[in-house]
Amino acid sequence: MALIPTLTIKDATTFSDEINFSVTDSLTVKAPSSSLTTIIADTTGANNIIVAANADKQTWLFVRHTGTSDGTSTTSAHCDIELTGDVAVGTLKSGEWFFFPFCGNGGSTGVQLQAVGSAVQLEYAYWSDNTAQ
Amino acid sequence: MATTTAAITISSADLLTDPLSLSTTSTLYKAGTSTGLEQVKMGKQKLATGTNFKLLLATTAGANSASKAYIINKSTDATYYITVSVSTQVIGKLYAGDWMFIPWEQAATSQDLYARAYVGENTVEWASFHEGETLTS
Repeated sequence: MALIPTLTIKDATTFSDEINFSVTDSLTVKAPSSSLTTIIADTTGANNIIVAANADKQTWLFVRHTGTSDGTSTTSAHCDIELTGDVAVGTLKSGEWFFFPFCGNGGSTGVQLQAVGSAVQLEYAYWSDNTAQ
Repeated sequence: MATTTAAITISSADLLTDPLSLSTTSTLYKAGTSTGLEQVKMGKQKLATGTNFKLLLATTAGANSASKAYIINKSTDATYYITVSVSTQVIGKLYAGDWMFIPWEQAATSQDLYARAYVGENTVEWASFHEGETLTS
């Protein structure tokens, strides 16, 4: 089973020359996976673990900030993406997304979301490949 | 006006009973604003095995600022891979042909992004779209 992620970055206005490139990949994936779903992340990361610590696989993780706190109410709060144990990897602001090859670090860590200031609704999905870490 | 967009499409014809296709686009803004990022760095490196190289350096100015990091492993041997670390913590692996795009958090100047090659010399390309960098004398 193949998963095809494609990234395209464009900018026609900042510089004299245009930035426009696209990369694609073909990933062989299998269970466990999680189709696109939503979560309302609160301000305690341990409450919002989206990839369990025992998932000791190469895991492709997509997360997107919906710009809302509950699917309806707009929020300017951002959300940190962390390894369990509160190791910050990145921070998502309204409308931003993240695609990342998480590895389980020997099965000792997972991935959690920690909203900053107030709750944030996010979308996420992940797919694992057959490479044990 | 700076308008850099990052779009992702994820698709699969055989993962599920029905085809999978999701896509989204975001504009890369400075933190807390609707002003686009105007600073870009990019490069290409060949990474020898055995050393954890600093690929992108966290800065004091980068704290509480927007910074998007893109890294791709351009190696062609499918067994080759790199680990990507924030400070001393490995956060993920990129095998040959794999890429990542993250809103990198430079919470402290120790939050450098590192890359380390395994199996053989890996070639990586990277880019950082960011704000806050100033020239020094």
